[in-house]
Formats: sequence, C-alpha cells, structure tokens
Amino acid sequence: MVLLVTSDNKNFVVDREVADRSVFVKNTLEARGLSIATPPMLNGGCFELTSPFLQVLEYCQHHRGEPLPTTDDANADENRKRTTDIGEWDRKFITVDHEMLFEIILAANYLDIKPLLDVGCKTIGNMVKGKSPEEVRKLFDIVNDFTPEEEAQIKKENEWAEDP
Amino acid sequence: MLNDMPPELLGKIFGHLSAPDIIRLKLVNHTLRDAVSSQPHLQYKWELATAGMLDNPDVPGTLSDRRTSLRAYQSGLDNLTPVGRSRLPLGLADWSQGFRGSADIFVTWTESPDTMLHFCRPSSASGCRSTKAWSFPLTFQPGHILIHPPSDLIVLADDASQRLYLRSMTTGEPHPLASHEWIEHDLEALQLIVSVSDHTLSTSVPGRLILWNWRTGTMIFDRNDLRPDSMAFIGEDRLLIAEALYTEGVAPALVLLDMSGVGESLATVHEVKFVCDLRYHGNRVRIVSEQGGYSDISQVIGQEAPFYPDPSRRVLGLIITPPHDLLFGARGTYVVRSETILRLAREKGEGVIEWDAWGKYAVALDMDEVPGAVARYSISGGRFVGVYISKTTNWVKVRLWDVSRGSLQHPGVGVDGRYGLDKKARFRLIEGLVQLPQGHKQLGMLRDTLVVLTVGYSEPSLASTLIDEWIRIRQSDARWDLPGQRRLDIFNFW
Repeated sequence: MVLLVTSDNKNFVVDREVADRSVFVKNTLEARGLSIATPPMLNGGCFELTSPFLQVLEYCQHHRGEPLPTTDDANADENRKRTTDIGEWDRKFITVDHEMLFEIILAANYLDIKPLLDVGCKTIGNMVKGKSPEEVRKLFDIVNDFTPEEEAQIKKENEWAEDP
Repeated sequence: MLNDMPPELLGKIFGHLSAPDIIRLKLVNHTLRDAVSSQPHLQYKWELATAGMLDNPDVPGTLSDRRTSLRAYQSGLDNLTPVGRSRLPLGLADWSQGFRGSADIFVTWTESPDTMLHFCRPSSASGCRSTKAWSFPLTFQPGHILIHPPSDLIVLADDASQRLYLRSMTTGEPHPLASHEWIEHDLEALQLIVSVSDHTLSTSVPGRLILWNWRTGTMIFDRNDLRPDSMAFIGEDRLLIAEALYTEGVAPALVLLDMSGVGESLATVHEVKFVCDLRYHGNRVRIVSEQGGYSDISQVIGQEAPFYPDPSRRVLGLIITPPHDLLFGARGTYVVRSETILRLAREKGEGVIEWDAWGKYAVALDMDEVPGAVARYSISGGRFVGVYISKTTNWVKVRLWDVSRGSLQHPGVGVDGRYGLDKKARFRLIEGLVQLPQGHKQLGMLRDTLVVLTVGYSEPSLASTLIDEWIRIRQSDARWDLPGQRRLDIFNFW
C-alpha cells in the first residue's frame, strides 16, 4: 500500500499497483524506496484540489494492472495517436464539466499518466473538431482578442482551407 | 480553461486534429494562434498542407477539390507499407551516404552490399520516431538526391552517366508525370541539384545555373554569367532566389526566378535591386511600398532600391520562410524578421532599408565573432538556423538558434556571442564540440531536430562513442531544457 498526499493535505492510501499507473509516482517510489509519495502538485501548485485527484485515482483503479505503455513501442504509440475513439468506460469517465476536464488533463500530465492524458486530449479534440472559431469561443468562453485587421490577415493566409 | 492550458498541452490536444481544424483554431484568439505557431508539429502539419496545395496548377480549381486532393495525398503517405518499424535497416557497416529531408520525409542511401534507397517518415515532429520506412534498390550510386514530396518525386543524380533520374518516391518506379526516365546532363559533376518544385528542376555548377522542366525534360533556362565565387540559391518551392547576376562595373543584384510553372512564368528572370521586404506568398511576391499589397514578380522591376551596395558585405544566402516572415542572410550576418524591420523603418520614416542598415534592426545574430567560415545553415520550419562551422578540419562546431522567437525586446543571439532569445523558448542555443574524423561528417536539419550523419566508420564502438559524447555535451548544457531522450530519438536512425 502506498500513502499519497495531496496539496490540500488529504491522505489517500492506495494499492501500489494503482499508484504505479502514474509514471511519476512509480519512479519516485522506486528511486527513493519509499512507500509514501507526495505528488508534485504539492510543490508545483499546478492544482490543489482533491476532487480531480479523486477522479484520477478512479481512473487508475479501473485500469490497474494493465501494461504501461512503453516509450519503445512505436507502433502502440502510433495507434494511440491515430485512433480518435475512446473506450466505453473512459468515455463515461471523462464526461465531466469543462473545468474538471482541464484539471484532469493537467493532473494526468503532471503525474505522467499517458493513457489518461490521451483520453483527455482526444475528448477536447473531438469537441473542437469541425467547429468554427466562433463556436469554439462560445464553447470555452473565450474572448476574441483579434483586431479586425489581424483577423482578416489570418483568414487571407488560410483561405484555401475555408469552406467553399 | 482552454485558454490557460500550457502550450505543450494545447499542442497535444491539437495534435489530434486535422489541418483545417488547426487553421480554424488559429482564428479563435491570440493564445490559441500562438500555441499553434509555437508547436513545430502543428506548424508542420500546416506547412505540409500548404506546400501541397498552394498554387499547384495540377490541383483542380475549387477549394473543396483541393482539400480532397490534399487528404488523398496525406492518406497515401499514411498507407505506405512499412518495411521497418522504429529503425531503418542500416547497419554500422553501411554508413549512410547522405540525406535530404523535406516536409516530413527523410531519405538516405546505403552502398553495401547493394545500393539501396531508404525513406522514413517520422511519426511526429518532436518525436522523430520513424513509423514508416520503405526502401528500394538502385542500379547505380547516386551522387546527389533531392525530393519533392508533393509531387512524389525523387531526383537521383548519376555522375557516371551524367543523368538525372526521375523516380516516384513511393514506388521507386519511373515518375508517372515525367515523359522520360532521366534527363541527360552535360555538367561534369552533378553535385548540385539546387532545387526541385512542381515543374522545375534546377542544377548548377559554380557560375552556371540551369533550369529544367522535369516533366517534359526540356531545358528552359541556362545561364553561365553568374558570379562564380558567391552564387547561392535557395529554392523556396517555386521561387528561386539567386544572388548576384554579375557584370563588370554593375552593382550586384538579385536574380529572381519564378518557377511556379503557372502560365508563362515557368522561368522568368528579373534582375532586381530590391529586397527590402519580400514575402513569398503563393505565387506572388509581396513588395512593401507606399501602397503595400501584393505584386506579381513582373512588377518588381522598376521598384529599384539598393540592396547591398557594399560588395564586402555580400550576401551568401537568403532564405525566406513563409509563413514565418523570416529573412536570413549569411556572411554579414543577420537574421531578421522582416515585419519587425519594416515596422521600425516606417516609424523612422525610412521606406527602404539598405543592407548595411539592417544591423540596426536585426534581432538575432552577428557571426563576425566566429573565426571560422559559415559552412552551412538551414531553417527548418522557420524555427531554427543551424550553423555549421569548421574551425579546423577535425573539429566541428554546431550552433542552433531559435530565430522565430526573436524580437527587439530580446536582442537575440550574437550580441554577447551566446544567446538571448525569449527565455520561454523551448529550444535555445545548443553548442557543442564534437570530434569527427576528417571528412566523415554531414549535418542537416530534419524538422526541428539536428541530424548529424557520419560516413565511413567501420568500427561500431567509435560511432557510439561519438554519439555518447554528443549526447553528454547536450545533456550537460543546462540551457538544453528538454527531456534529453526525446530529442535524441533521432539517433535510433543510426
């Protein structure tokens, strides 16, 4: 069992197998020979909420024991990138509000959980796919900070790709 | 929210999208636009798309058709049957003879026991892990090769028979668009195939430049009065810029060759003395004047202005890299962002900037401090300038600059002999000394990655020592702030 401590000082005791889903935690534990890990968000201030961490733990628990993707496996890497499908369980898991989704991505990136990071990135990718700039702005509540001139310039550079 | 994500993560997210989606994202706001521009793999996706599309007379007229055609091209590359997975079948005894990269294809050849051409297509710009590799045999040893992925063309120079062979890159067969298998050539050594584009192929020996229409095999331009000691050509797809058509007593000028293959302009030569701001855009060159706007190349004439009036500061090479708006001049030496220069010039009321004045505005480097000659440089994705300096025959000094992030706020490389670009730039100056046996070196840029190839080694231990040394130097440099292993994947190639 491993004790994980989040930045808001919540303690989580999880199986080593679950904790090892995070390459960061795995490496930290192996390097130090410890059974207590303080995830990097403690110091990094990347996020300090327990709730995304709970989500991440849920993901790790579900996928425990699966082989970790190795960096040598070019083929698997390729497949993971190509496929835009997301598994059934993962899709349900990642159906959360935007804020949580981004928190999960940040956490997955920080803790180095590649499959989860991919799921998150693909989910956002799917949201954006085929959308006009205005639709993307609405979706993510983004303010258009281009001047009309800048906008015209970018449009001109890319007009070949616009819809006829 | 999306806006607040670090650029690397935005890059990962956008990496799952197609080129048109990426382009639309550039229109959302500054943050997303900059995120796309700062990620080499996204920028390449965009460039690959434009390279195949813009002003290609073979692409059907409507934009919708163009998109379809582009996708077909891209999926064609995706569906190539790989012969290897993560490595090319190169043994240490078959050291590569050289390589050429363009877009995201990388080609090299080996000699023993048979001459083989090897291609690879890395899976991502930053990963450089080859996921597609294919080969085909050759009946001769090429002296030089050049590829043009959008038209699936590889040109192989056979010095012995003085022929330029035109093949399909993907099948190895004679190229389907060419009416002949090779072009006969009368140059003594075909060491310089300068550039290849949709229709045009140019070759050169010092002082002489020849253009061919490779589809028909006809010579369309042959000129031998170019100044032999400093002629330099940089093909930017369809625009070839050559330095200095030289006549005694006449100031040097640039020769612009429009190699678009569109209509009459297959090879139009204009001797112009104006390079204040040239922006290559499709088939046109933008000349910034009082009126601004885009001009046909033919209209450049008449807008004369001194370019580099001081012959002691001749330009060795000029690269214009759309869409990065970057000008690079060597031996002099400046790297400048033309927009920045133009803006400053306008503020100061100077409409035209003379070459010598560029120093005032240059944001990047001054290589005068370097004792050796600038032997080689390149820009990959508008992002890097690689300079290859041979100080002695056995030592090679390599410097890379990220010039795309330069600005006046960050005075840039060279002022202190080091670097001073944006601290947030992911890649900065890499500097290292590598000992190479004489004559056994080749250097080039493949996308955002430095590639060093050596030839002639027979001892694996020597080669691996060399690689280890190279890696050690880079990893010991605190400025090299990327995960080392990722950058070094390219060495799988060995």
